[in-house]
Amino acid sequence: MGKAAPAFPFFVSGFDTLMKNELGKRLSAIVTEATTAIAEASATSDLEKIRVDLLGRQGSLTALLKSVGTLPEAKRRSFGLAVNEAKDSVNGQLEQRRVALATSQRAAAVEQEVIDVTLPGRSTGQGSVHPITRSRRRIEEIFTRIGFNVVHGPEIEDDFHNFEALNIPPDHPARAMHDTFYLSPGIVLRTHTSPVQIRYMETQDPPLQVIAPGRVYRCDSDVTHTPMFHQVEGLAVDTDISFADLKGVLTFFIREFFEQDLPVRFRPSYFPFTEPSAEVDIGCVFCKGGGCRVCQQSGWLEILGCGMVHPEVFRHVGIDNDQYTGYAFGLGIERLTMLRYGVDDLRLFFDNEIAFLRQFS
Amino acid sequence: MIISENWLREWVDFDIDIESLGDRLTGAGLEVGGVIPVRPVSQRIVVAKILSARPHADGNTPWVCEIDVGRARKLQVVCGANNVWAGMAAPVALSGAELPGGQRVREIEIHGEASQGMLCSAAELGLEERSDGIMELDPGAEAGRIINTQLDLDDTLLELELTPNRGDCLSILGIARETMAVTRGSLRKPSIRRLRAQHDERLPITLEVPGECPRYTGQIVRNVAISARSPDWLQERLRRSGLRNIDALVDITNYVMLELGQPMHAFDRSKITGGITVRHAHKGERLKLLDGTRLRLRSKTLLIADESGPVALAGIMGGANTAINSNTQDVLLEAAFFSPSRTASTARGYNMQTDASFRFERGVDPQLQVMAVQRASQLISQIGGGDCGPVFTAADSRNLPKRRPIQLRKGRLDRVLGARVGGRRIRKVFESLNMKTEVIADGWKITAPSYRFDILGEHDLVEEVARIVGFEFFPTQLPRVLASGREQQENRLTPDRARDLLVDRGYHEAITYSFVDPALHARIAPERNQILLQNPIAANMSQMRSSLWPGLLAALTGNARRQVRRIRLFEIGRVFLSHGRDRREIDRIAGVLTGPRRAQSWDTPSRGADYFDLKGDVEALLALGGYQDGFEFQPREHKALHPGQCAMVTRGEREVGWLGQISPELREHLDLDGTIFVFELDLDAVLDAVLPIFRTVSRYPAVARDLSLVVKNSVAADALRECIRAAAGELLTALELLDVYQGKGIPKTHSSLTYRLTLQADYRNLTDTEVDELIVKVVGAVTRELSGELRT
Repeated sequence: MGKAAPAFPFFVSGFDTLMKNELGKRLSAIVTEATTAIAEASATSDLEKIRVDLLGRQGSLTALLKSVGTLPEAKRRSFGLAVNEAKDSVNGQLEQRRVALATSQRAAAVEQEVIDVTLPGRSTGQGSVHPITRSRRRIEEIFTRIGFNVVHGPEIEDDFHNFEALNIPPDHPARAMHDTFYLSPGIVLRTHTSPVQIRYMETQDPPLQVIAPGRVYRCDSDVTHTPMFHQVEGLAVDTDISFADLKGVLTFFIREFFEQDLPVRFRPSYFPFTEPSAEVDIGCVFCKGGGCRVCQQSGWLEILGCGMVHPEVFRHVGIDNDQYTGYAFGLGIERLTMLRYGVDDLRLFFDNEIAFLRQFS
Repeated sequence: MIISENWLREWVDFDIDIESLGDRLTGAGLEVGGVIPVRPVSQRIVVAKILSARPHADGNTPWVCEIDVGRARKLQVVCGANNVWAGMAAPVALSGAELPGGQRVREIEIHGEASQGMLCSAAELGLEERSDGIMELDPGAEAGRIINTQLDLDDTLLELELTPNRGDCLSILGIARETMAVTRGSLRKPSIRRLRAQHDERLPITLEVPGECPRYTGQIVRNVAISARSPDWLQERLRRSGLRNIDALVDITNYVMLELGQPMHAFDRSKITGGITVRHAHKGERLKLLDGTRLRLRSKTLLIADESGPVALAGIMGGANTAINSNTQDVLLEAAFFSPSRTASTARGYNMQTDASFRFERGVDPQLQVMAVQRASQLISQIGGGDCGPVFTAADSRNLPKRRPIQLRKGRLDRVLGARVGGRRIRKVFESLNMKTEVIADGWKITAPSYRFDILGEHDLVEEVARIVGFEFFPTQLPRVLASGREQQENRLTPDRARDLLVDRGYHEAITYSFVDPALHARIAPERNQILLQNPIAANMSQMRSSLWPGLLAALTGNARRQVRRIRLFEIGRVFLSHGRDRREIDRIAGVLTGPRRAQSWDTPSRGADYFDLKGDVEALLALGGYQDGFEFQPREHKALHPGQCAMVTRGEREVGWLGQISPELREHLDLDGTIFVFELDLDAVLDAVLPIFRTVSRYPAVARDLSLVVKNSVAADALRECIRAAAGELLTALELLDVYQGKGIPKTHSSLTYRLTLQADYRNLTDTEVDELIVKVVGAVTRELSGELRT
């Protein structure tokens, strides 16, 4: 409901005289009637009808305006003015009422459209990236940020690339530790990602800086071993790569991966294809070094192996051992993933149970 | 390997505690996995001398013993075990003693007999897991002596995890040498000397294969008291090192192996005929080993033989026929050097790993044999008595491993380690490792001792410096970015792009084993050339997959068993294909789906997913590369798939993959309900992408016309679309299928397909006439080529 419009909003000179005559009375009646009709209109279509009745070609106000010409000269001007003002008044009231009606109609429509916004949205369901992939991506991202390329190699390997070129000749005791799957004599499922080093160095000249993630296989299955798992191999070869670079890169990687300034310990070890060789321990991420079940009370967790590329490896791939030095490392993605997300059973990774997988979405 | 601290301290003087020694050995590359205290027992457990033992009057507890515990008064104990006799020495827990198991011993009365203590078994003292009967101690043990002293229980064990290059550390002597290097302590070898020969019997030795056995040392000891028991100290040391007690003679050879690292063997002298020959096996020879194994010997197998034939598998195990037994009087002791590689291949060839082969494979000191034999005969005469003969040796010095001087360049050392190490420090490192150092112009010449099989080149010397100086000494150089081009091409997507797409469409990524069940595989992707593992861990994990479906379907089955209704899984991984002798590895992307189309929703009725949900996902993958067309879906048959809901995806001539519903047979085999859909695509085809090339954006209005075309059901939608596209030509900028209708007004054999054609020219307005003509042309083509017509 708009405000009630004043019955006589116009006031002009000579009004009294005007009102006394017939035309004046008619004008006044039309305006009064229109004001009532406008106030009572309940839809914009009613307003349109009122407008046509008053101001259309056949409209009553239009007719009055046309009749101005029939008046004596002296009264024409003032009556004309009065009619025009009445017209403006009616138009104003119509517009005011139109706005009022439109507002209340919108409000009514909105009222109709009220919903419970807390109901759930429609979804196709969210999938998930496998936790091993999640870790692998983070590992790749960290290393590519410092200039490593990501390369790949075959999973079915020959003895030369998996063992021999890595300085593991046929009767080497290290072979016994590898629990190799054989496809035929001399053809194996790769037991580590290290053969990718060989394949890369066979075809590329230094300087080299690559990582090679992928699946590896060992003929072993129990609570802490699955016959297939994932490693990332790293290799850098240049004229002046030193053990200090190796320590730096791996310390950087570990602290980026765990997003903590963990203590990092390099400890001498043995791999046939590196020398010096080292195992890398980090301060236990669970007990912060205080000693717990996971670190077997030692405060340290062994997470990867590394070392300076063995001259015998360079010899096999035809890289000059005097001109170049290099380092290599290998880490287990499962191990890092378990430490990062607190997964306590290796076998969960390959059960592919959705209840497990969706925790990583 | 487990090392006793007390035993080690007998060999080396060092002034730090055992925990610190453990840390230093770890820091030098001999990883100490644990420092475990041997648990001393109560001081109230002492040596008892059994003075008399009589059966208990009551039948249940057999023995009532009078014992001497070094006090004036004798005690009486009642004992349940059978192995007690007068004169035996045994541990007794006196009243008030607490046993390791927590039991407290008190004076009690058993069936009317007083028992003032408890005779103990080794298990009751916490020394063994289980034992039969009372523990027997040295007959000469002093009555009343505290057991902790008698058995040297105040000791600590170091558990070492040795790497295969350090065969020289597989002994007390070896660890003593390393201890010396990391503590600057001093070695003190117990005196091992030659005993005066009491007879002069030697055996002739022939080394037929000096390359594999360049040294063989023997000694004959006569009148050995074979049944003698090893003294407590020796038994305890073996037990603590993880070896069982056998008899005095075997215990002694084991003891020498643990102490010096030289595996030994003792033959019954009387069973050896003629001399000893170290030779390769002859064809057809057989040998029965100590553990009862009967071997048919292969040629190239290195043997110890006498005139009558093989008597031992060299470096691995002795033969049964020449083994010592309770009647043995005279023994032949053997200590030899066998080449690491020969021992390794023999051990692997016969699948026999023994303590001896483990050491020979890793390298036994070639200078050790005489000392080992002397040590053994010294112990024999000390323990059981026996008449030693001369030590005799056959050696081929040309074939003995030699340590030549190795050059270590200062510049190389600094360059590899990234730090300068002072010359004096370096000389000290090598001195502590018993290596001879000679200063030369640009560095040193170093000669390693005979037992260091791992020192072969300059890099090995670099490592010695690094590990003895300590890795923490060397600096940490922050990563230097090597400016190498990233091997990334814009027209090649990363697998992660495809992965993320499926994840966002509701798929969970699976990782399944690359080897699968051949029986399931045969139902899915039968092939002539299977790639099989020779040594799978299980028969159902023996075939290398040539499809990702077996693994994914197994994962789907597993989830269905756990009542998961809506399953969407995918995997990106390798498959392995074989064409004759040629093997290929191909990356694929594959998925499986079953259950409702959408996640459960409160306002939409749940509907099962169908072929077109699957196809939508596949199309989304194929669209990643930006190719507008180029992939075709052709109705074909596939062994694993439903004949009516199965398509092969091609691009040009190339097969890119498959999709469809799995066949009812396969579904029944998997024992699954509901419809299951699968797809598999070559990853390469998905990741191949177009490099975008700009094409002008038209500013002129587009005109849309809808055409309903009636064609036979046998006309594929793809064919109709291609026909329209070809006829409409370049002005056609979009072609959408709005509706497929079958039913009233259309013959049963036909369908009506409604397409919306959007037409637009780049640089002008289209006229109505032009558009009308084009539509007539399209309808004409459909009629001519596919016998279709405009629906009226």
